[in-house]
Amino acid sequence: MKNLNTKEHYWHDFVEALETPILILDLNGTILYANIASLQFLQKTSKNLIGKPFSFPFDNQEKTEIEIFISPETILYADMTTKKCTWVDKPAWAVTLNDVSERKKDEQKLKRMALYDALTDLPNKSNLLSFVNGLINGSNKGTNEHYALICLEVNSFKTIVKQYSYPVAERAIVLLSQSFNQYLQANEMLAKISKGEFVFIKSGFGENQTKMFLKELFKTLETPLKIESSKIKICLSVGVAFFDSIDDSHSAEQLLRQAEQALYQSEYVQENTFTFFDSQMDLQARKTYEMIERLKNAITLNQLKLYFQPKVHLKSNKIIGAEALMRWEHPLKGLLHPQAFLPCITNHHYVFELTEWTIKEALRALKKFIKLDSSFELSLNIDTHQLEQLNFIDRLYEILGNTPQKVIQCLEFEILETGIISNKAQVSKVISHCNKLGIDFSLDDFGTQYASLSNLINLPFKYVKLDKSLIFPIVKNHKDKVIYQSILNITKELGIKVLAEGVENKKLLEALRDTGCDYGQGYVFSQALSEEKFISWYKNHC
Amino acid sequence: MAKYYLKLYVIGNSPLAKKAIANLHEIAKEPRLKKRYKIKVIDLLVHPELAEKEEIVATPLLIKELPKPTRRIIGDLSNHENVLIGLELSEKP
Repeated sequence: MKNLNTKEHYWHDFVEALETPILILDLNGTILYANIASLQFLQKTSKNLIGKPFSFPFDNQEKTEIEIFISPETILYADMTTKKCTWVDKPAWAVTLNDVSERKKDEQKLKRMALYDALTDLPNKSNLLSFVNGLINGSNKGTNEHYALICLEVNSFKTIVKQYSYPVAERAIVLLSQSFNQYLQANEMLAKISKGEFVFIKSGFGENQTKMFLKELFKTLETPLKIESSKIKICLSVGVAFFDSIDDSHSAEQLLRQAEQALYQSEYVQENTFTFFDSQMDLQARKTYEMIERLKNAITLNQLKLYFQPKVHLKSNKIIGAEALMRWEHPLKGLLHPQAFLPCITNHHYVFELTEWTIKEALRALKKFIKLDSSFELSLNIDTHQLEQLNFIDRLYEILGNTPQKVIQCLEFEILETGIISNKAQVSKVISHCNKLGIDFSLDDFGTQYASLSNLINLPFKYVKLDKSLIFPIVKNHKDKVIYQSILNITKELGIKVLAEGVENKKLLEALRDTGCDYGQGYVFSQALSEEKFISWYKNHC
Repeated sequence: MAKYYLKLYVIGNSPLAKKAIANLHEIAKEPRLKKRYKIKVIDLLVHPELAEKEEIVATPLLIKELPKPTRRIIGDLSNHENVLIGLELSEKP
């Protein structure tokens, strides 16, 4: 700086003292001068900068965004502005570097948060959808690539949270994501789209490759995850949708929905199963979806109700309780029985939510009924698939909440014999657990299907409900009466109470009384009544 | 006619890097450059040693290696006319 005159010395001192990094360039873009702030910012010595080429300066250059490479781990960001100036009596350019590294890093962090799952660092749902849309509409146009969109749901996530803790469940998800990551090839994706839901995009995958892949994946999951001192078994439900890169008839959103529809089928069946989506499923799924929406709406509008059909002790004619039956007070179609709306959603997990609604409603009504009779028994139908859900007991605890014990012990679940066959061990476990809570079980529609005595012996039922097909003929046909009488004798021997369903006339009622049947339910007493009507009927009857 | 040998230094796959690459390819379509260029895009995350060797202060950095003299242009290259001036393919206004 020997050549500087007094005025320039002031100018130099001023620039030197500035906190803003400033470089002075000659007309070819070579660095003539760098202030202390620029040396600090660029992490260079003046020897490394002075005399080195920077950038050709332009007259009309606007603020330019630049990146500064310090090391692969440290990148800085700046907004660069260039202005004409005079330096040692010669025309020159002053380059100002405004450090925006912090802002840029915050932006990148926000962007990452918008595209990646914070827990696993895997791409999130929005990232997945862009990736799939890119595969369908993007660069592979012209060449046809096959892909499988594999949706995996960790069924046991909520159970792990309950049994262990949220951090343990999260750790399980992280370990799982690391394990899944091993199966990832180039141009594929593994995304985490909700708390316990992952999606694989596998390239070149048809049905056979997917089957083999999932078989391997399920095998890996046979070994429980070790977290701290616990061993946690992971079970998955899987749904798969296939797509081609040249077929843009379905969007990423639609493909994901298809895979999720298929997943619901797996979820309903059993653990570690997969279902491939097909178009028939799409049609059915749409119908199911529409019905679910209507039912949800019906609940909001208070159109879905529980009706109550009394159960009577035949000898004393005393009302012992009632069966809660779902009815839809449809504004146009009138009173709808479950057969009119349940079959459409029977394979969808919403049926579980509906049962939970039923239990809550039953508990609400029961609180009123026990004011009429403290030993009132209110039964409701439970799908055995629901009992097979690993989190059934946890969900039940949640629903029961602070319900007083005297109310809980008046609750009773009715299950069908057909449902017990598939997973007897789990059903038996749930029944025992419910019994401890004070909830009894009835075996419903006994005599229509298997009428297996082993179920009566091995499972702790309080009641057996004889189907009307078994009791109707007793007033006419001697042979059927023998079967009926035998079942009656066996159940009594086992200490199980017998309730006859479909008692529709006095003749049948008398025949049941004569043969020693304990309880009855049917039109001869009353049809299912709304809550208000039932209470008034009850008061009149007593 | 002289061939242009252009090197574009970027950092990874950043939005700025993508913008500069896209702009350079657009500029290359200019009749003044058409079929007269060779472009090499270099990622400093892959070749960090080149940052020091090439005395790179900031990126995206376009270096016109040939024809001589060497010229450097820093930025996203969105002002195509400025880039052409820097490459000596256009007169200064």
